[in-house]
Amino acid sequence: MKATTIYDGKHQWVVFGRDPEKPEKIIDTNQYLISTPGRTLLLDPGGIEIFSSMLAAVLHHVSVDQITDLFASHQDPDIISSLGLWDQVLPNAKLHSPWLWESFIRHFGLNNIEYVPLPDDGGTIDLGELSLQLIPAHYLHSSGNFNVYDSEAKILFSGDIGAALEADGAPMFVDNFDEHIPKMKMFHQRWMPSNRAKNDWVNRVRHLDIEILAPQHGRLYKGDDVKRFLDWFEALEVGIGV
Amino acid sequence: MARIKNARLAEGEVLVSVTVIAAELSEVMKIAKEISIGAKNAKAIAARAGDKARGFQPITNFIDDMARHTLKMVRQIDEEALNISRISSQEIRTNDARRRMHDVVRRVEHPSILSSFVNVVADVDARLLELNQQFDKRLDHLSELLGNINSDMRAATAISSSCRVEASRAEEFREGLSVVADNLEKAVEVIKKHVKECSSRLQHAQQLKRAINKKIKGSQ
Repeated sequence: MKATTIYDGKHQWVVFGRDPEKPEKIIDTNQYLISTPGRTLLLDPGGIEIFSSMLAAVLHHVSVDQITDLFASHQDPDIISSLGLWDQVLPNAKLHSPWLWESFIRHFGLNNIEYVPLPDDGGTIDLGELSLQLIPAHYLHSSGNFNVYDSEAKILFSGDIGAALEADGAPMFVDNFDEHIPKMKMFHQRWMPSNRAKNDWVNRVRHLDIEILAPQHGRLYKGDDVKRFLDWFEALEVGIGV
Repeated sequence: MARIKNARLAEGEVLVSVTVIAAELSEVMKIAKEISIGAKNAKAIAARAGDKARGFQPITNFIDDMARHTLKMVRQIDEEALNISRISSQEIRTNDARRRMHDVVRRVEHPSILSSFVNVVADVDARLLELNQQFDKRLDHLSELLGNINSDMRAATAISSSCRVEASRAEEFREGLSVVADNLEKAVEVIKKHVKECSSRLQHAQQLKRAINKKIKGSQ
C-alpha cells in the first residue's frame, strides 16, 4: 500500500491507498493517519479486505501502542468493516463516529474499543497537542456523516465529498481539474442525495482555510483546486437517481 | 481424520454442523412432549381398567418420567449447542484476525518495526487457544448429553416391551394399551434416528476441528 506524507509539521498527516494487493472488485480507498507525539488517529481505516495491508503500512510510521483513536465518518463497509479486527489489535482505543450509527456499526464487532458517539452538530477530537474540528456533512452521502478539519495543517478530510472513481494506481493529487471532472461527476450526482445539504456544506466549508481537501476515494485537491472543486460541486445537481 | 483443503470453509462447516444439532433436536423435543401426553392418556386408561391393568400403572409413570428427562436433556443440548455455536463464531473471527495479523508480520520489512506488535499477535494466539479449549470441552459435554438421551431410549425400548406384555393381560383394554406401546415404540425409533444424526454431525465437527487445528499448527 502506498503511503504519502501530506503534512509534516509538529504533527504529521499520512495518506494510505492505491493498494496493489487489493481484491479487484473492491473500490480503492484512501485511509489517513494523523500522528502527534502522544497520540495517533486513523481516519476511515477501511474495509476488512485491506486490513493487513493497512496495518502493515501504518506500522512503518507508528507502533501499534501509539494508535489511540479511530474515526469513522459514517457506517459504510469501505469505511469501517475492519472494526472487528482493529478491536482485537487496539483494545484500548476510542472510535469517534456519528451517534446515529452506533447500533449499526457495532455489528462489525466491537467488544473492546470505546465508541465515542458524535453529536449532530459536531465538536472536536482532542489529540492532546492538536484539536481537530468535526464538520457536519450529513446527507453527503450518509445521513449521519462528518468531515475532519485540521486548522494547523489546513487539511479538510472530506470523506466521500470530492471522491472519484479512478483507474488503479492513479496519482495522489489532482493535476488537471477539468480532466478530473468526469471521474467524479457520477459519484456525486448518484451518491449524494440532497442539493440543500450540499449547498449548506459548501457555504460552511468556504469559510475554512483549506490547503488540501482530502477525500476517501480518488485524488486529493491542493491549493486552487480546492476552490475549483467547491465551485463545481455547488453548481452540480445531485440526487439524480429518481 | 478428515482432510480439509480450505481451513476457513472448514471452520464454517463446523459452525453449521453444531448449529444444525439444535435444529435437529427441536423435532426430538416435539416427540418427547407427545410421549409425555401419551403417558398421561395411558394413565387414564389404566385407571379405568383398574385391576385388569394393575401392572400397567407404574409403567405409565415411568414413561412420563423418561419423557420429562428426555425433554430436560434436549433443552440442555439446545443451550449447549447454541453456546458452542457462539464460541465457534468467535473462533472464526479470532482466527481471521490471527491470519491477518500474521500476514502483517510477513509484510513488514524491518523486524524492529514489529516490536510493539509482537505482544498483540501473542495475545490473539492465546485467545484462540483458549477458545479452542472451550470449544473442545463443550463438544465433549454435548456428546455426553446425547449419550444420556441414548440411554433414555434404551430404557424406553425395554419399557415398550413391558407395555406390550401388560397390555396383553388387560382384556377389553388390551387394544387401547397396545396403542400406547406402539406409539412409544415408534417415538423411540424416531428419536433414536434424530440422535444418531446429531451424533454423526457432532463426530464430523470433532474430526473437522482436529484437522483445522492440525493445519493451523502446521502453518505456525
